[in-house]
Amino acid sequence: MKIKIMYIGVFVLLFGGVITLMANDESPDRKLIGKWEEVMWKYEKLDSSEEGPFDSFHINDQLKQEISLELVIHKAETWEIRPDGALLLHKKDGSSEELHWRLKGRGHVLKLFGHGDSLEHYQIQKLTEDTMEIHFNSDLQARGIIKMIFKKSKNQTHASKIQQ
Amino acid sequence: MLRKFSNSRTLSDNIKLGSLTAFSAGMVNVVSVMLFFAFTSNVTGHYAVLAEEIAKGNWYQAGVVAAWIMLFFFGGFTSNCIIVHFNKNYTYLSHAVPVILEILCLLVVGTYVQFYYAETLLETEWLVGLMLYAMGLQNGLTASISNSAVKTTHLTGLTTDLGMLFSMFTKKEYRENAQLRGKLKIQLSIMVSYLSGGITAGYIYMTIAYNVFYIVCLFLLIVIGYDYYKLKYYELVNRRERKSKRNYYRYVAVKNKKKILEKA
Repeated sequence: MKIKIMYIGVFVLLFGGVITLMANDESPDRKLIGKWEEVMWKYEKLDSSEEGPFDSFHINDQLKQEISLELVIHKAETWEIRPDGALLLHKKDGSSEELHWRLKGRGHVLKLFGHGDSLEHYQIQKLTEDTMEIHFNSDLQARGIIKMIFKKSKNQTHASKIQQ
Repeated sequence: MLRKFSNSRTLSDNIKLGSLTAFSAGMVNVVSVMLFFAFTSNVTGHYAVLAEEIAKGNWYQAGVVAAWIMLFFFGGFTSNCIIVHFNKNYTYLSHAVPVILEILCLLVVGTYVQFYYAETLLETEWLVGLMLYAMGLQNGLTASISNSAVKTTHLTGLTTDLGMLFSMFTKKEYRENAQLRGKLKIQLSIMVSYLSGGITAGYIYMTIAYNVFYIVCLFLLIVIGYDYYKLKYYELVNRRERKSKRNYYRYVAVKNKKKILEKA
């Protein structure tokens, strides 16, 4: 009898621990909802850098356009991530494009689709209330990881919370 | 493959069991990475990820990964629990039940993915969890019945053992040791099967998509079916032997009776 109680106790303790951990935090698919403004594009490896080796992560606007030519997020400035799985890419010229998003793994891979046959996967490196950092592995001219940093639009955060 | 337990198993039993189950584990792992972006047969990586998520303060993800590790643990627990409680009286059945449970888990995942999967994060977490439980069941079963000689989802340990074995074989006395040579055969077959399973799954996934789960189930059915067939075959042979022996004794008895009667 004692051993049974011990086994049940350990089982409850383990699952209780997991549930407590998950209940204390928001799921990544809820954290992701909102309007994200692109703040910075960084590149892990550039072919050449005039600023010296320590500045090789920075990227100019022209190079960014060239690199992003093949990507769905081409020329996007603001990402509006909606709870229904839609993603609106608001571009500089005022136009917008609709894509779809899904989270994979433990919520660390962002899958974008709906742009023809194109399918892109981004690693979510950091996702907090107001910051999102995603990485894209590229074999394009600059080679390496593209690092994109977004800040959550304050008004949109409030609006989307009301919507939910 | 499943009829015998522990030290009564032959090298051939372990190679057959190891190859078939490692092939299916390799398939499951690759398809889960391609479909869900999560590993399901190597838990070492999950421990590293758990530590990383805790360090980053991502409590939700830490909880998910901890649940996955626990499900793998419970898979091994279930397998061994069934074996230790029922092995004495129902050897084959106690070894077959974990494989049946594994097939059921993979069938649920395959069918759900094919007909209902909307790619939400919650679904992904549950399906990966179910696959980890299935892999735990398989690893627990193979390790338990083979006296830890066969661990089909434990490639870290296997690669270490292979490295050690190859270093031992630099000495002649170890090269001539039949037990060590047998161990090498088992481990090489597991490694090759796991890798071929992965490659096959990748290829199948790109051509006929989710049906890969049904093919894994087919492989596991071969594991169960092969032993069931053998059991039935031996049962038939034994019955015939018993019957012919009975007929022989009856014939001898009748003959003796005749002799006695004649004498009388």
